[in-house]
Amino acid sequence: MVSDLDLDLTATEMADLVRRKDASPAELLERTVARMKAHDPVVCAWSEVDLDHARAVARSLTDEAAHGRFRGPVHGVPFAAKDQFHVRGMVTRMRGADSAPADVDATAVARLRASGAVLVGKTTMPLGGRPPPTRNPWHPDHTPGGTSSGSGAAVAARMVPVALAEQTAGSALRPAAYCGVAAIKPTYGRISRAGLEPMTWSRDHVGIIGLSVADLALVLGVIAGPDPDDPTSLPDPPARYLDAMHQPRPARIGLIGTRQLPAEAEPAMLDCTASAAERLAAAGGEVRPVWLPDELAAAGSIVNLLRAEGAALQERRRGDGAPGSYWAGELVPAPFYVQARRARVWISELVEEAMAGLDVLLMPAAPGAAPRGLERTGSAQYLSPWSFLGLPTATVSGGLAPEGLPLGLQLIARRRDDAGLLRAAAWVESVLGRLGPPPMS
Amino acid sequence: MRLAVPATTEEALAWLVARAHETWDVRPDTDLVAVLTPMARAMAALTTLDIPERIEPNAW
Repeated sequence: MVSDLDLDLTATEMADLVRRKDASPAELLERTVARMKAHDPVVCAWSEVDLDHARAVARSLTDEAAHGRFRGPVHGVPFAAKDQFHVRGMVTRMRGADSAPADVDATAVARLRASGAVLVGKTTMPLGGRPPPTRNPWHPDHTPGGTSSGSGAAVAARMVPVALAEQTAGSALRPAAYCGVAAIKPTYGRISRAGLEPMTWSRDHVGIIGLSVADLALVLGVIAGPDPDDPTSLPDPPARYLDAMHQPRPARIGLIGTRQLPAEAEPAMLDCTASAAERLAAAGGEVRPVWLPDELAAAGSIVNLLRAEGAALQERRRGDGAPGSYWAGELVPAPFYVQARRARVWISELVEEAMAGLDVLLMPAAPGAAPRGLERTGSAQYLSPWSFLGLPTATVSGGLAPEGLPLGLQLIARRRDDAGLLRAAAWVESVLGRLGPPPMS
Repeated sequence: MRLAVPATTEEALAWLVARAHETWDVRPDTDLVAVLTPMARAMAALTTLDIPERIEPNAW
């Protein structure tokens, strides 16, 4: 039986335990249930849980494993999905609390289930302009970030080792950074968006939040790849992302200077980034300052013109009331919307030119640690430009701020180089270390 | 870029506010300036870029 001593088990470790028959999918699920019972009354990470179904699935997977049959690399690993993903038989609350239960799983959910992962339930997100009651496991008075609030909190609280998230601006990396865990927002189109309730079609990304970079690689290897149900999915065949974890090598890192950050970072965050750069260089990495094109600064602003897409989407969700930020997108002149899309193409090219000779860029994931209060989910300013450009990004822990809250670092890679991003992130994680469970544990 | 709308943030904001009043029956408690300023800034930022002609919007 997996004991409490194994509190910090990652998804990769869980999958290995199951394959070696040192733990069963049923045991791993009961471990998740115990964590949820102990901590979710405070953390409030879940919007819907179906334990009866999860237990039935885990029993089947346990029987199969006992006979040496494994559905895939995540056989028996518990996971969660943000309440933006369609899950068969469950309401997608982002679509509306009174909407009909989904008929089919989102592609990402379906691929994980087909590979043997056990869906425990759906995690919270802001709805109707209001944040969820979800609390940061590192301190209940602080936000876990958003909008993948529950996914970040559930992973950080060690309820599940991995969770599906979504990022339009900064919604996957920010909660991971605030909660002290890892996350990836791969290249636009790398993971199918079929069955993901849209926010802004051209910058919505399926993200993954996990306890380690290897966990991100494990899950990405299962869910990435072309999908006929998502015409924007990349045609590239799935890569062997986990292989990159076995070949860690010092990365060539471009350090984005303080003066290029879109807003003033807090001193603790600046210290954290500088210290990380020093440690990475001392460990053999090639770390050098990089000056990004001035046009990148405009990207953080221009992204607002994509509200035209949000307005088109909101049309069917419209109720009574005053025009809000999404409806304001109705006013975007069509030529400006087209020019914003052209700017995205061009600025992406300029950034990739600036990355010559580098594997990744390094900068903070947020201006600081998770802000106090649950009314706001923090700033996406450091994350949003990369979502606009569709470039792959990941966050790893940079350590703790003096007040004991996690600080997250962000890595950015070239379009389609998700494997290179994960390889660099794994090396950075190996040098800087992962955060252990929060003190609530 | 040359478009038939104002190019500075202030001009763009005034243009958007006027369009908002033409489009909706705006409630008095609606802070249009707060809602529309990010878009006005975006429009102004876009007019500062000299995007090469070869760049197509869908090549992404």
